[in-house]
Amino acid sequence: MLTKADLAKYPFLSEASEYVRELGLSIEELSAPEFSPVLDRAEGRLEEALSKGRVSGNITNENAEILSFPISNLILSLVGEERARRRFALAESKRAYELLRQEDPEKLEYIASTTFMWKLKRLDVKLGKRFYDFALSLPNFLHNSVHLREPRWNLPNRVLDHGFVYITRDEAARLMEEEVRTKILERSGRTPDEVPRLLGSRVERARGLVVKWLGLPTKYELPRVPLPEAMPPCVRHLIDSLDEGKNVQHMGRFTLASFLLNIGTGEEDVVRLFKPATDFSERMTRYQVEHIGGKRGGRTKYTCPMCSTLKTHGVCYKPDEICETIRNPLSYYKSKSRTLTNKGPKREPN
Amino acid sequence: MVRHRAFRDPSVLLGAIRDLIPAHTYFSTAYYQEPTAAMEEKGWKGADLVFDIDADHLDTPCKPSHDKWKCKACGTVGNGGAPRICPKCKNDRMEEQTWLCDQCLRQAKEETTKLLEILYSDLGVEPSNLRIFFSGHRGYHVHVYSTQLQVMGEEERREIASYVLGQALDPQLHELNEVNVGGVKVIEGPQLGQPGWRGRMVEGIYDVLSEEGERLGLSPAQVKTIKTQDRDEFFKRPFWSSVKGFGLSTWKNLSVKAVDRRSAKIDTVVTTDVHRLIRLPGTLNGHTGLLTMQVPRERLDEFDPFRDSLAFHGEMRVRVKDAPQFRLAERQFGPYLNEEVELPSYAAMLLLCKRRAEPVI
Ligand code: SF4
Ligand SMILES: [Zn+2]
Ligand SMILES: [Zn+2]
Repeated sequence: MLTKADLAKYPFLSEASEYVRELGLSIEELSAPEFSPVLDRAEGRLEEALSKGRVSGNITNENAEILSFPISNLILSLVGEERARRRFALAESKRAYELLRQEDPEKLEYIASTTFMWKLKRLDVKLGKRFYDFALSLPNFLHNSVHLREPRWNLPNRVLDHGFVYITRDEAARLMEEEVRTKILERSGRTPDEVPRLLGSRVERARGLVVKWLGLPTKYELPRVPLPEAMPPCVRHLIDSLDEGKNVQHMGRFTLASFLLNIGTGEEDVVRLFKPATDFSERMTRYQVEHIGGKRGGRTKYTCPMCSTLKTHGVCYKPDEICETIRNPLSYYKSKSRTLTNKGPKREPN
Repeated sequence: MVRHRAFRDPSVLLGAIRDLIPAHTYFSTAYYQEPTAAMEEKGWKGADLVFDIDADHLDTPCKPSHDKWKCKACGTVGNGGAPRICPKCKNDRMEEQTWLCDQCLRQAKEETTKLLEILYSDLGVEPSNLRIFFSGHRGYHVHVYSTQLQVMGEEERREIASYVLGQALDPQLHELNEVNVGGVKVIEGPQLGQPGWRGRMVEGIYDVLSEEGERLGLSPAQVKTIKTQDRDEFFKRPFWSSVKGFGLSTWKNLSVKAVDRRSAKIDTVVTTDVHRLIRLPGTLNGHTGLLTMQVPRERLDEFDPFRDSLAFHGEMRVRVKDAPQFRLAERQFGPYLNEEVELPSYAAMLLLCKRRAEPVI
């Protein structure tokens, strides 16, 4: 079913790992000059991901494409930087999406059911103007759709039929992008027992790249928040986006900074949080954060914008049932911390 | 509260219940590696998918006549279901005084029936993998047992809850649209018989049109046309463009109403919670003295919570402070005000549990 060209396109496939394993190469053997394209491509993948958030889908050397992928992952796991791992996973999964969406349904079905273990049915249904190629089992769909933001991914806006969600070919590719992302994250998170000598210098170079593109390594991944579980969905989402190196608009940053400062997070922590942003300028950020915190200018501490404002600016994200009872993210935090620290349900179950 | 207990078999559990004599007994819907360990160390393996339909969350017209609320912060009081936040001081801590009511429970049963239909035909739940329980108070619980769904996290469950509620459903994403056919503007949309919310939305539109037509601004003639139409016939035609004066925005509003009509009013919090404690079937509900019990699927229609869940026999004397009228079994009781009465034990227990009466010894 799959050709070598496919493995080069989709090096995350089980078949690709199998192919690499069968070659039986040790890392030390890779130091041979004929393998330098592999190591260069491994580094290239990382650099593209860190600098542009994209990994190119052009394939010039199939072998290098297949072999470089596990090495990029290995280097990343040795670098041990969560932000870099996330960014790489995102970039690689976007690459996969661009390639997958051009595949025919047979190949998509094959990949989905063998690598991602999807329960997928072929469909040939036209409802309204939309043509559905597949029906995907509800748990598989939800597992991936919950990470997607546009309203069309919300379950009430889907066609759900006897436990299967109808999806178009392009949507199948998009959901697979999510699978790829989690798979890579998981993969680059495994810690290898020893650092192969050959990779030592490459790992150091990768560290340099991370610092160059994402700023200095942070001591904490998350700002020290008194009760992280009590943060509203919008704030969590903003933090995740920054972490993944996505661009967050001004209103989002303002919300995040004012929220955190108001619940007592230190300014240092807030500044540090903004570091993964692509257009991070430490001086500017520090200035803004201090301004919001009331250290500069008029000394008025800014409060967090109201939910209604956040809704119009698209900052509100998947509001939950607590959101229905509050009008400001700060009240969300207050209300949820109360429930959490009370230990146990606020009202008795009936 | 006694928590984090595990039992090897039902007889040990029964023994513990007899020792403790708890007013309320709950079990966790979650499966754990170590059920008796501290919360963080239990090792969560999964949880049944549960739905809770309770009169507390329903908007029944009878509520002001039997329910009261009081703001714990400022003392404001009112009739009916408690508002989410106090209209006076914006606090969200409310004290409620509720009462058992036929109409409320009929509504809860209707919501349960709608829920079951969605579970069967949309979620593909096998009837044999689901159980229905009367909560012993004001509602019903539905438990779904499925290894596939068990492992879902909060976010996935939230999606399922919104689906059942038809929350933020956008008719346009179900392709309700105005299209241009050879220079003529035509409205197109979902059709009867299509899967999921598409078909259900159309069914709901029929309900809404035939019941609320006049309020929706339809002319009496239009209402009549719709009422006299055979439903299936009407919806076979391209009906979206067949009602004069109905544009896209009217249809959109109607669709949203239709979805609301057909959705099942579950409590999102319960469905979303992956560590939920839920009443143990076969035990007494300490708020009422009624039995929390399984209701077989095929008996849901005829199930009468105020007849079939009575647990106590015999007679009892109680001193009633005040109580509205109520029915249990085939008998009407009350209203009572500061009087001593001899009642069947099940009725006396209800008043005692509701703190409306005291025992006379
Ligand atoms: S409702 Fe308010 S708190 Fe909730 S997600 Fe939206 S903006 Fe955040
Ligand atoms: Zn109040
Ligand atoms: Zn009622």
